[in-house]
Amino acid sequence: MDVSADEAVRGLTRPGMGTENAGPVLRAVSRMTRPRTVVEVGAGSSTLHLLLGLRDAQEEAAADRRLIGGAVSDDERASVLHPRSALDDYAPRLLVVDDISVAGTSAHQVSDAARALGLDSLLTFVERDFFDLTEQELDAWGPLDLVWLDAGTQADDAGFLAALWPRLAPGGTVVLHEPYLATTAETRDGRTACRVVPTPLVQDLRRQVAVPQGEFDVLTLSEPHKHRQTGLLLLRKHAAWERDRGVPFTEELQALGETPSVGVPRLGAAPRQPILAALADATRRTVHSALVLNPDTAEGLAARLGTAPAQVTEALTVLQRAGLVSYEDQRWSAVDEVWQP
Amino acid sequence: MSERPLVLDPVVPRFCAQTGASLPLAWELAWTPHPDEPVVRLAPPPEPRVLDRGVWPRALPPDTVLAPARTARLSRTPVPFLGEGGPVAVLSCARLAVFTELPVPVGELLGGGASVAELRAAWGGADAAVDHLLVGLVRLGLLTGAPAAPNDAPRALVREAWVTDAGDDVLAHTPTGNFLRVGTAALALWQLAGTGPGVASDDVPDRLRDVADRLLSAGMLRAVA
Repeated sequence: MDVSADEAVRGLTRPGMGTENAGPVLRAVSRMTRPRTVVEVGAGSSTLHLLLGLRDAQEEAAADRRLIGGAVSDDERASVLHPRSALDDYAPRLLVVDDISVAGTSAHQVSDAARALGLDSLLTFVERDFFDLTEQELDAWGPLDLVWLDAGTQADDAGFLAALWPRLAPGGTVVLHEPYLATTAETRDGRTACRVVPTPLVQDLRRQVAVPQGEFDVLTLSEPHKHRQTGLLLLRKHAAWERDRGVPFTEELQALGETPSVGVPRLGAAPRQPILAALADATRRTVHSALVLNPDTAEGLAARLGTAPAQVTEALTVLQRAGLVSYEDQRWSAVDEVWQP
Repeated sequence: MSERPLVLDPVVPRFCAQTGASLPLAWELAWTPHPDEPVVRLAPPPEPRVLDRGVWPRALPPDTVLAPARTARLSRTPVPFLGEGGPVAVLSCARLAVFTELPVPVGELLGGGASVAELRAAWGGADAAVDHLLVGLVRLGLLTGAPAAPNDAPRALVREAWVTDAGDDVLAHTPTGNFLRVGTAALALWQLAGTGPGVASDDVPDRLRDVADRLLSAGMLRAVA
């Protein structure tokens, strides 16, 4: 790390805040994913890490442009670059929401440090309480590519996600601090003890993603030597091109020209309940129930149920993959055999 | 025995500041291995433990053998949880949510059961003071073996062991993590119970009997023969 940047980061880092590892991760994620619009709620040393990551990404993008444009030569580097993305202009920005009137904020120090490092052109302070921002103000930021949240309670995090996730661009990432907490809990032997547990938010997000066509990835990173101010939660929104193709693993290996000498590695327990997973959605249950009563076309189902055709089509895709419905003679029908023991 | 003042935050236990966990639960999180199994559900901190208001002996016959209770666990930690210094022995019980830190030699003796005379020698200090601690460990359910107090002996209230005035009118009983905010009269009674032979039970005014019971139940006072 640059000497002056290192000093600036050290000057802002408070050990009790617990982002000594999160900061470098954010810097690396910024450099790696080249986000165009980054939002951080709550200024701190992590702001400098994000700015340094964006600066790294800018420098690298500029070098790649020279390479693709033919100004310099590096065959190995050129072999991995996507030409069009390398030529796109990369002008990232970091929006930091911080109500600087609150006692204890380090926003002024952050601003000064950014200026001293020549990074203030990348930085915009939104000097407001996040929950006072209007829908229009949030919309004005445009699609978000990277969000860093480290500013409140579980309820606050839920509020931040509710407001920002719809504005996250496909492929974008939200990073949250503290996916684990030490708290009192009932143990299996019936007593109350203090344990480090996943937060309620992490638990629910894991449930949301454990369905067919889950729309985002969940990853938690722990810092096992700490009991609080620990760990990171990464949520990455899938883009349309990432959706499950629904083709078995070995078949796709063959399509790639690989010899499918091994089956897909099973990392967890065998999926025992794909049917329940397929039915873990109200629309899909409604569509399935309608077909149990009467086979129909997709358009007919949409009309009967008063549901948008696109939703019906999406539901039918998932139900078909689970073996619950089939398509024959231009009509959809429920499959009875799947219920036989 | 150390008389080093103990500094405690009476509102938020040290180490588990955001959990509201009591000192014993915080100690357990810090120093005991946890099985790799999920918890059933998040739960509020348990209610403060209520201790018995029975009468205990002031002193113990030197040949009385004391040993850890069946559910108690003896362990050792490299640093104390409640102060500064080197290794300490810990006598704890997860089910009762109680823990006490003892000198290492005392812990080693207790492991196999030991007589009061042996424990007095290992602990050091006045016999009466050691007996007071040992009876306290029995009252907490951590040791067994102490005889009962004679039924017909006059009774008094004395300060329980391991209780400190944490300031701001709060008394702290560290083995259970009971913190009790007290009024002027309760504080005065507790302070008086720490002088000489304590406060004779018959001398406690009627208007303070409820206060005395509260202090007994919270572990701030002990009734002795």
